[in-house]
Amino acid sequence: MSDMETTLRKLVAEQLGVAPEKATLDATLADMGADSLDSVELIIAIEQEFNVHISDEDSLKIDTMRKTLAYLETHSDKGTA
Amino acid sequence: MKTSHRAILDLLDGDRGYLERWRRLRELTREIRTSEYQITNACNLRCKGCWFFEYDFDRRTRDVKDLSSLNAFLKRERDRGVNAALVIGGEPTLFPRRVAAFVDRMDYVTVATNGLRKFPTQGFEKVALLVALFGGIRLDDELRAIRPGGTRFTGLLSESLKNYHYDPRAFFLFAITEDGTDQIEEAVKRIGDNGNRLHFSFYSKYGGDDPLRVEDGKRLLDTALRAKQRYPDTVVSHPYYIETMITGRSHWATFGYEVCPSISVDHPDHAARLANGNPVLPRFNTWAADLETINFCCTSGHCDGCRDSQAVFSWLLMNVHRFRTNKQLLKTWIEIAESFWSQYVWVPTASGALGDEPIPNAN
Repeated sequence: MSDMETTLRKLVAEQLGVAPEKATLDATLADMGADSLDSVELIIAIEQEFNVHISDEDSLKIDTMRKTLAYLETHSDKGTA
Repeated sequence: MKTSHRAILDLLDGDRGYLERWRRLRELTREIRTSEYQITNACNLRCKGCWFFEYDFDRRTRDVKDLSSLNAFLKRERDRGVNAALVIGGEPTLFPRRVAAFVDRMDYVTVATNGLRKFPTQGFEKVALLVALFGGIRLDDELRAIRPGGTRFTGLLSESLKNYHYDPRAFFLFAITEDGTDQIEEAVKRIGDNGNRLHFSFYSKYGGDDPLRVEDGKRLLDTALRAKQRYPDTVVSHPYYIETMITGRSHWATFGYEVCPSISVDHPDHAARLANGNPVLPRFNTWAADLETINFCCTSGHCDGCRDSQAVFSWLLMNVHRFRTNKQLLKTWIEIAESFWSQYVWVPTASGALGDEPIPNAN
C-alpha cells in the first residue's frame, strides 16, 4: 500500500468514523455513510493534505477511494511512495 | 479536532466562530431526511399563480381520509428513513387531525399554509408554519383573496397577521413580483411589526406564456435588497439567496431541472437526472393525497416556470462544494444555511449536537 493510499484511507476513516480497514477502495462514500457535507469536508481535507486543487465537477466524480487515488496520482505534487 | 475541520478552520483563516457554526449545521443536516406530503386536495382559496390548481393536481388523486391508513403510510415512511415532513395541499390547516398524525410519527413537521385559517397551537407547538403572501398587501388580495366559488374579498394578509401575531411557529414566504415592487417594503414592515419574519420567494405567473419573465429585474432586486437592509430582523433571506431567487442564477449555474435537487428520487422519469451527477435531496419524494402516487417534484414539474423558494434553497445548500473555494464563499454558504434552517421552529436548540444557542440569523 502506498503512502498516498495510507494517508487517504486514514482521512476517509477519520471523517466517517470507521476503522481504516473498512474504507475500501471501491465503496462509494455514500455507501460508507457519507452525506454531502462529509464529502465536502473530505474534499477540503484532501486538497490541503495533498496540496491539490480539485475542480467542482471533479469533486462530484471522485466518489470512491480508487477514483480519488487515480486523481491524486495525476494531479498531486506528492507522488506515490 | 478532525483533519477536515482543521482544514476548514484554515480555509476560514482561523475563524473559530464560523467553524463552530459549520459544525452545528453539520450535525443538524446529518439527522434530517425530508419528504413532502399533499394531505388534501381541498383548499379554501383559489390563488392566481398556484401551481396546484393551475395544473389540476386536485383532480389527479383522491384524499386518504382514514387515519389508520395515514398512520400505516407514515410508518412506512419512517422505515424508509424519512423523519421530517413538509405537509402541503391544498390547504393542510383544514385537516388538523391529519397533521396530528404527522406530529405523532415524524420528528419534524412543517406545514405550508395560505394563512387564512388559524392553525391550533395546542399539540402543534413545534410545527413550523410557512405562510404564503403574494406580491404585497393590495396585490395579495388581488392574487389570493379568491374563494373557491370565485368570490373575492379583501384583507387576507391582515387575517394571516392576526392569526399568527407573534407566533414563533409562523414564517412568511413572501413571493415578490415586479408588479408589486412598490408594495414590498410596506408588506415587510407590516410583517415585522406583527412579530414575524420572512423569506422572499419569486412569484411565478403560472398559466401565462413566460411565468418567470421580469422586465426590470434590477429594480426588483434592488428593492428586495433594500428591504433586507432596512429590515434585517424581518427579512431573514441572505442577499446571495435573494439575487439567486430573482435572477435564477448562482455563481456557477442557472437554476432548472438539470440541477434542481428537489425531485422525487423514486419517480421513474428522473433516471437521467439522477445520473447527471448533480446533487439531489436524499430520500426525498413528494406524495400525492392518495399516499400512493409519487409526484414529479416538490411543485408541479413545470421547471421552466419554477423558482420555488425551498427548491432554490435546496440547490444552494446541496451544492456546498461550490462554496468551498475561498473563505468568503464558505461563510456565505454558512449564512445561507442558517437562514434556511431558521424558518423552522422545530430546529433543535437544546445542548447536544447543536449547542445551547439557537442558530442565529447571521447576516
